[in-house]
Amino acid sequence: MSDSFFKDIPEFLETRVNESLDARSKSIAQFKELGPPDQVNTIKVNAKNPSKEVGTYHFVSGVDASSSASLAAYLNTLSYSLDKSQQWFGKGNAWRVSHGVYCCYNVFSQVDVRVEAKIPGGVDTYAIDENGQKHIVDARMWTEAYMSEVLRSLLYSDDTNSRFAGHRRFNPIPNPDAELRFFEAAEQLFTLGYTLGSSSEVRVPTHVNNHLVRGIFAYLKQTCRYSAALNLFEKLRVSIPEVSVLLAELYLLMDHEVHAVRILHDSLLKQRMSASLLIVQVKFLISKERYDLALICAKRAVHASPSEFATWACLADVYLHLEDFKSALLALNSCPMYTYYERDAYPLPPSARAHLPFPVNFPKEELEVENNAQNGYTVSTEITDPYLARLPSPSLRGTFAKAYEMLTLICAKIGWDELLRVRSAVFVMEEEYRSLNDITEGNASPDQNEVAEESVAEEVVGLDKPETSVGSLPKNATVQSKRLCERWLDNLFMVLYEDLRVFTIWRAEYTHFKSQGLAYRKAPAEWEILGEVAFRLHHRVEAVEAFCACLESMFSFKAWKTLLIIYSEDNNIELVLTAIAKLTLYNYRWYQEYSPFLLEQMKNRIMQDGALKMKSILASTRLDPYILNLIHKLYFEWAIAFQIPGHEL
Amino acid sequence: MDDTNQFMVSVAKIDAGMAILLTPSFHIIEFPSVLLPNDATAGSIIDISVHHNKEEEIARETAFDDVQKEIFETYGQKLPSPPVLKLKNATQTSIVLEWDPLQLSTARLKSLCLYRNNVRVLNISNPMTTHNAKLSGLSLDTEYDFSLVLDTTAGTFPSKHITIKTLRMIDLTGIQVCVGNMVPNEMEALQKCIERIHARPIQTSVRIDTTHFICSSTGGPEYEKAKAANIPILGLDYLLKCESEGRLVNVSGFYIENRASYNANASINSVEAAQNAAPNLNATTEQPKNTAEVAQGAASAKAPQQTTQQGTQNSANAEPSSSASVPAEAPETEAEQSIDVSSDIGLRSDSSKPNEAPTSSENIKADQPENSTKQENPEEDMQIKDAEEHSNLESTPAAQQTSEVEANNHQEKPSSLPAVEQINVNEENNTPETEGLEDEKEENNTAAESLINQEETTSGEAVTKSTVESSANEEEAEPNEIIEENAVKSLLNQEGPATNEEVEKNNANSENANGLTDEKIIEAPLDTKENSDDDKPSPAAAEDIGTNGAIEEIPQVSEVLEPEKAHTTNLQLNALDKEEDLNITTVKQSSEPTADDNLIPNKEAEIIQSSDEFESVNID
Repeated sequence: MSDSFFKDIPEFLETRVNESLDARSKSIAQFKELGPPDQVNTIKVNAKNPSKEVGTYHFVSGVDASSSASLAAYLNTLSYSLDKSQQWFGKGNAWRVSHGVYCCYNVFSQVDVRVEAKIPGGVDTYAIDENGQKHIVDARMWTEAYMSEVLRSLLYSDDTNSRFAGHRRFNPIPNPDAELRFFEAAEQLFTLGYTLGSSSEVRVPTHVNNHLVRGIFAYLKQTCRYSAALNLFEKLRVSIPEVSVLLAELYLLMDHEVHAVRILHDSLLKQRMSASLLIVQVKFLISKERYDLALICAKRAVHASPSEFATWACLADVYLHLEDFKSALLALNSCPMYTYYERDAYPLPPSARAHLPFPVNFPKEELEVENNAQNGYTVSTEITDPYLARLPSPSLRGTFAKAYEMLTLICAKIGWDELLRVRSAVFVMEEEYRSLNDITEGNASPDQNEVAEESVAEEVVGLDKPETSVGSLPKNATVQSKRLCERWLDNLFMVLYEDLRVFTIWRAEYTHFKSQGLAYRKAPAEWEILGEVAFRLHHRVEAVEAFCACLESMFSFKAWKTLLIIYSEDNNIELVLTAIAKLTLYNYRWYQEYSPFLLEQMKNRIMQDGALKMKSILASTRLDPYILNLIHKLYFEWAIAFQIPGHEL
Repeated sequence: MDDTNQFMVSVAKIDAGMAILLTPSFHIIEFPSVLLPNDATAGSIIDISVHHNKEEEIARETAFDDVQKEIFETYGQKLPSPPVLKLKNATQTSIVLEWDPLQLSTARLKSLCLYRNNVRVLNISNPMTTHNAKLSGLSLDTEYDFSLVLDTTAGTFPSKHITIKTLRMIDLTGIQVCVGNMVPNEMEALQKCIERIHARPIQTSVRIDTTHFICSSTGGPEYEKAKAANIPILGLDYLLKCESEGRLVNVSGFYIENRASYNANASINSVEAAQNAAPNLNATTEQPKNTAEVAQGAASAKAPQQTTQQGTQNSANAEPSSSASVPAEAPETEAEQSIDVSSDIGLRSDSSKPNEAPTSSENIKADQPENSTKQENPEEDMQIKDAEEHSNLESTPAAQQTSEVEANNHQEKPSSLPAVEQINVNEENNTPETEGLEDEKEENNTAAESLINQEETTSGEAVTKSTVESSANEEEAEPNEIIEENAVKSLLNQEGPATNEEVEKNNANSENANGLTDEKIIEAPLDTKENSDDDKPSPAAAEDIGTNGAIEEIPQVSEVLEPEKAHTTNLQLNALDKEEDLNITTVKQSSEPTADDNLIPNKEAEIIQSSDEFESVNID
């Protein structure tokens, strides 16, 4: 059976042929966001024994889904991988692909477009709706399928929270011709963009705030090809005046802020209560440190859209810069919070076997640390502090994650103790309120063990619990002059307390061990967690320290990614390139050739310092030639194809 | 009051921050408790009045319009200005650029980059406070295109392109002197010297465009700054040397640090400095003698004219003895010599035009023939100036010796060129262009001649005073040689085939080409004979003369008899040239072991001088 697997393509062996396809068909009605990645099913037969067949599947993103021909072409490439395997083993016992199905979810029409190829035989194309009925696929349907595919690639490729195993990712727009096609499709489907939904921080999708627009801007950030988008928005603005806000955002992205200001000014005269325009203007004024003007615009934005998270978050941000922390907390407390939805996925039956081969000629020793990590991870799991492993902050999503980030910024500015004082000055907590109104004196006394434990913790970390003692203010005055703190905000304070507790204990232990001249050791997974805690709390030096300690004995994607962000802001070119090389190699191992995040980082470097300097620095490192070729193919050739400024310097 | 609603509500409940109000018609209202009167409690009755505040609404919109106007006028009107790039100073190998302070308006600066020939060469650090930049390592007498690109959050703004040309070696206007500890009369002399060479005004503090630091003694804050900036710290005589030579001179040998006794000469002024230079020139008298011997050898190598030269030499040898017996005639003889020297210079300037190209190209390191062609004019100007100086000096009887000494200096130039040419032969070989090849051939010929001359000098007698006199006589003979050469060329041109005449009619330039070809035809056979002479053991002088004369006649006859085969002859000549290269290599190898000890120091001196010239270029 091992002979039937592709040489360098991941796949899962089905217990029953086409069971994964059936599972996907049943789940079409459940997709709420942009839909799951494309699924490819193959059936292989043994040349000698035709009755013997196996079914396998894998996932793919970034394939050109604009016609059945391109999808059939992808299915055809799978046979080459199998043929190579045949040549490799030199055996007569060979398998061949007899049947392939490519599934691509069309989010606009909410159908699953499928291309079914029989080898030998013909190609059949149809669309399955949520009821399992087949439909004809016309040109419009292909445009929608193509755009769905591109948007999933642009927006989900770097999402590590819901990562599919055995998922191949390609660049959906590999050359300028594809870019042209992308913008043509965007123009056709722009008016349907709001039906796709929007990010988790937007309650009501609009023409200018939806997944389609997010995809366009995601593409613009990773390249510098603005002219096509400029033409698109100028054209759309004629019929949809709201598009002015996109034009202003685009000009700011292009570093043409004077044009952006003019567009904002002209548009606000006509759309006086446009929250989108006001938010863009507020962000611009904040960048100019004109917080006084920004505050006026932010307040007006809140009045324009009081039910949107973005406007309140914007107001809180302005107060934060003005260092009016009481108002910032009050604005934060008023933020409407939304439920977060995970990426669309569907339950798959357990596979009989998983085949995840290394790419051809892959330098495995480069990720050898990872192999050790796999073994070490098992060991470190036992040693890892369960308290660290269960920290709540990494699980925050959507609006809660955004609010938590603002809370950490306030804490970084004024400290935890002052933050508690500010909170007490503006909020009345539910528990506190109930205790004030509680007439009976028969409250259960707190558990003594719990009290003892808390006192021990306080002695160690020197932090006060967020609970505040009952004030001495008159009851009515207290109740009327303060505001009730939302439960979710109270929870975020507790989450922040947990992070601070971990960080403080770590630094105290570190100082103690250092003063004693002892070696301070932790498991690699623990170092990773500590680095993330420090980074969340805006302690960058400590974060770098922890991540470097982690990487000494374990390959960590998270550590390298965060280090890349830090090194990029520090303008440390050599370390930036090292991080990009490591992350690219890791992605390639797991079949990911496309990462908008890495592409943007490399693009910024090329624009700032020139491609020649990048190549010189890379050549001076001791990286494996395989990595250098990979970087050249994925980034430098891409920069040449798209004429990124600086690619010839 | 008609648009006002008034009603009473009762407080049903006050919760944390929110109150529940109940209207008489049983509407339930959630109301912030902070807005209620302080004494309100459950069961209280509250009066509520609601009306539309249109005045406040208008005021709000007006205020908003004012804010938008302020934002527009502050950030939406003015763009940054393109940077203004200017030239501060240019020297032979460096350029100092400056620009006006940047006008960013309300934009934020991203980067400021300097472009040379549309390629980024410098990313300006601290762009807001830096307003100049210096680029070194440029080529001599070359044009460059510069622009400054300002990148901001409001767009990218390039400056206008400016075209700047580096100076030639004979252009001293790029010198920027900063003075240190100076005695008054030296300062005055420096001022006048700067004015004479049209250099830049004197600086009293070290700047980015300072090229030389001149002082009478070490010490002082500016002296330390110049040392830290690696600026050459020199004495006043350096500039005087540049002025007298008419070109930028190597700074080695003029460093103030290497002269502990320089303070003793603090009182020297410009005239005294010139006089002080005279003893130095006298100290180098021996070298001119060697040069004269080389010239003598070169003359003897040309057999067809040698008989005439020998006759001239004999008469010259007789003259000194006769002049000795009659003291009154001596001054007249010297006067005649000076006149001949002047005429000799004039002739040389005319005849040496073809040779100027390789010489100037080598000195300036210009790989492009066009540049070397341009350099010819300045060379002629220099020679004209030298001739004028000689004519001025002739009027002074006491200066006759000086004119003779300078004449000897002139003779130094031809001898030093071969050494330079040898060093550059490899570079010339790399040049694929035709002119390069032609230059190479001439160089090889000259190099061969110099080597041959040195060998013959080795076999010559020891240097004596009488030899000096004979070399002077040789100088007198040189004009005749040049005249005869011109006569030979004119004859060949007249006898040339009709084809050559037709070519001349079509293109005047082709006439020059024909001239060059004629020279090659004349020179090639001579070289062949010279090589054959080297290979053989040295025979008697008389036999040499006879053999050379006999061989020389044959090529001329063949040329006359077979004019139609000129192209074939040229091809054969090219083949001969290749053989000559091999022979030259052999000659070099054979000459080294037999070289006389007296010659070795001279060679080293020449090599050192040549390397100094290159170093001076690099340092500048």
